[in-house]
Amino acid sequence: MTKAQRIVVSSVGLILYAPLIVVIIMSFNRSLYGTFPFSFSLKWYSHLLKSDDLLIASSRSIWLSFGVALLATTIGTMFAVWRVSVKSVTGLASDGILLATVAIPWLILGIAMLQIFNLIGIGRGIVSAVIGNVAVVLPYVVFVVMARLRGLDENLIEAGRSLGATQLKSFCRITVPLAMPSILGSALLAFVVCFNNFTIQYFLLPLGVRTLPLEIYSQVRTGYSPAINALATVVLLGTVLISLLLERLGAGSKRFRD
Amino acid sequence: MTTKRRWFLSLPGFAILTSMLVLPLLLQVLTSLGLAKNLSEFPRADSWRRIFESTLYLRLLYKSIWTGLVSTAIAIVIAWPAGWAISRVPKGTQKVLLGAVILPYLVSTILLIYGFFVLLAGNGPLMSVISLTNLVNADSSILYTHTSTVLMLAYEALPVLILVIYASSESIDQALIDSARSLGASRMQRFFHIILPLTMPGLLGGSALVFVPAAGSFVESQILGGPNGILLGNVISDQIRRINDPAFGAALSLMLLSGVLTTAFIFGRILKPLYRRSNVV
Amino acid sequence: MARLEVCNVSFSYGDTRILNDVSISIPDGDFHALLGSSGSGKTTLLRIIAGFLKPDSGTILINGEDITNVPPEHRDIGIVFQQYALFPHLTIWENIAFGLRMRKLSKIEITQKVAKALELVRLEPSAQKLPNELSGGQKQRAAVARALVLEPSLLLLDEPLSALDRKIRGELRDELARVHRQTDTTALLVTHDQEEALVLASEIVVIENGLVRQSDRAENIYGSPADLWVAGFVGRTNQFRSVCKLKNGEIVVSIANRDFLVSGPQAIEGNEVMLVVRPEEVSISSDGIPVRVKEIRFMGATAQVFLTLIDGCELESLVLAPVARKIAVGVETFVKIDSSSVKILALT
Repeated sequence: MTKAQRIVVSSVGLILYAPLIVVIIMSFNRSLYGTFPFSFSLKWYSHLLKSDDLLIASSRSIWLSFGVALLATTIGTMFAVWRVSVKSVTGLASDGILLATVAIPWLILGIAMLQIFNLIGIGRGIVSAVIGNVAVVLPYVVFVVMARLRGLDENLIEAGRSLGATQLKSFCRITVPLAMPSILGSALLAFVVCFNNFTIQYFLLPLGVRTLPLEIYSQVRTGYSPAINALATVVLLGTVLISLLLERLGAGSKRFRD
Repeated sequence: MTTKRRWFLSLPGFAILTSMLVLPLLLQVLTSLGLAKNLSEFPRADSWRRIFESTLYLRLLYKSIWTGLVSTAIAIVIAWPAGWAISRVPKGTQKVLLGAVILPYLVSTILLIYGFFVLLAGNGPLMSVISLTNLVNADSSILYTHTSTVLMLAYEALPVLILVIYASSESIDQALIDSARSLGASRMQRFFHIILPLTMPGLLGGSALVFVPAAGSFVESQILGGPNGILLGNVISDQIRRINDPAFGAALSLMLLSGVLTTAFIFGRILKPLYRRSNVV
Repeated sequence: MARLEVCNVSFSYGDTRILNDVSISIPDGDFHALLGSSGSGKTTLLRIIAGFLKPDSGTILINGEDITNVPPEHRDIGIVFQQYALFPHLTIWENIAFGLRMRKLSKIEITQKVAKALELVRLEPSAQKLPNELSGGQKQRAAVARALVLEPSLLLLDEPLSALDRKIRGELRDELARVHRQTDTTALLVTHDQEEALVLASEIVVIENGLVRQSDRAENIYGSPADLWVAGFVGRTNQFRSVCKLKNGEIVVSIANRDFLVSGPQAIEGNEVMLVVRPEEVSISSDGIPVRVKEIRFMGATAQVFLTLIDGCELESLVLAPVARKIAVGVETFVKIDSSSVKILALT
């Protein structure tokens, strides 16, 4: 790397990580107001363990994201399998809809979904939140799986056919295992996106039922809250672990490629 | 399962997408134009009257779009050298750097906003450091101003833009830069005549992906923006959560959507001559 | 149009020595070639001459002026890249005009010079096309025009023909030769293809592992290779070990019990040497050294004939196809080798 490149990358790295580093440092700071001077303390972590509302919200988020990931991955993978075999305008249309879902602000999508649910009569609710989250997360799953399916070597499948496997068999025995890393990867992606999705949950969950982002939001609105720092640090750690897991899956798919 | 019979696989997906996206937006448009029966929750024709009665909402729309544009611009300025630099380092390092760029964003946006909040707070870490220069008081802060909203949105835009610019830059063969140098092009000339036109298409796509959510944002302005930082998104979310007038909120969101899409379209047109023919890389 | 001097250039990448005290000299207007296999350091040397790399030691001089520390933008050198490096978003005309625009020449001057350059490489009809609409050969001609329009002191060509089909390669080679004759630019061709080097360049520098193995006129590189490695690299060889003997006051060596008169620095009595004979110098005849035909490979106009000697050693001959059609595998025949065709080289 040239000197200029080094400077650029370091500065941008600093900008990217500044808020997180500050939060992590502050999680160990005794001060109640997020100010200096700094004195080391783990009291906010123990405070975190005692905060029922944060823990309940976290478990809600985990369950919700798990369910959403399961549904979205199943529906999304099926959709992707269909999509790669389509060459007509329908394919382009579905691409367009998926793209729109990603590009349109969740604010607008959230309201639109709420209105449909109100129309049907369900209104706000856990079910609404699940369906809404699935809709929003679906494009990510579809695009990831589609990319992998497209990249699969056609020769492998044809080799299977020439050796006597039927369409269904070659799908199950060859295509699915080869695409599995991407399917699992997209499941993780779905989990993460749903876990962190504030907007959709804000509009579709019943008032008073809070997932983690909503809980953090309501606490933060009143100002500085040190337990949140501790929580953020924990979440960051979890995210790093999940990312490393994704990496391993990526490496796994390389094994299949050889 | 033959190819022909695969269509039923797409049904659940289409069902969800159509009912969650296509249907409601369509209904919103139709009812607001008075073309469909008045459904209680959906915008009515007089919603538009109310919107255009005063200049308030138009001004808010303008402010939101402006905020989106400025934050996108700031993010581009930061992301461009970073994306370019990453494309020029060895492949192994590239992976690590790209991973490092994405990592903060896997954490909830709320937490990031909170991080910004802590960072910018009066007497907090950032101001304590800056006040050492004696230019500003440690007590003051840009928190609760519109500026911090803009900065936050720019921050959120960074990973997408860095990734997109990296992708475009990656495809620019070093030989093109070398040959421009051998033909006498200075650093500035290389940037304007070679790098800019060739990265432009990707950049525009990435910018749209970033500008639209920024213009429609509301959480950032709510937590960081203070009284002067209210955007159209805030008003819309208020209609739903606080005031409970979803019909009006939906009408406003339609206005937001059209305003944002129109802006994106206009910019695409204006910038077209700068990169025509660059898709042939 | 200028003199190029590369003086004692060395370059290392980390722990690996890529170039070791390399020196080259190209007089005004000459076309030289830097010939070597991949990894020989030839591309690195080219990049150092062009200015993209700085040598660890040594200097680069153009017309006596030290340009070692001058950045590529300010060196008066034109480069033709292996993959042409034409700007994909500009037309051929704009590509050629690029360097002139960077120099801020007037519009009239630019139009004139670009027209001349297009004429030189015969690409006038393609001027308004984009690079991806052109064939490989056309793209290469455009790259040459773009480099030459600036009338540089030196033209560097980085394996310019290796990306092209065989057939086009020959045509473009002739084009390059013609363009060089017309413009008289000092040029250095970097290649791994010895045919390219032999045809285009008047002098060849053979480089291997960062060292110059031989630097000589083209015909001498082929006809009088300095060592075994060069002999084997540039063309095919028959190799025999032998000891120099004194006979009737002259030094001889023997192949298949026949003696051949030899001369040269290695021709010392008792010296164990390697004999090298080119296949085309082994002629099939009606008497001489007895051989048996082992294999015949027809290559169109010529044929490779693989023969075995009585003692079991193998011999390769290159003949014209009509000659090869007169013999067959298994047939016993004779070959003649002229004394002057036997080169003796040191055992490496």
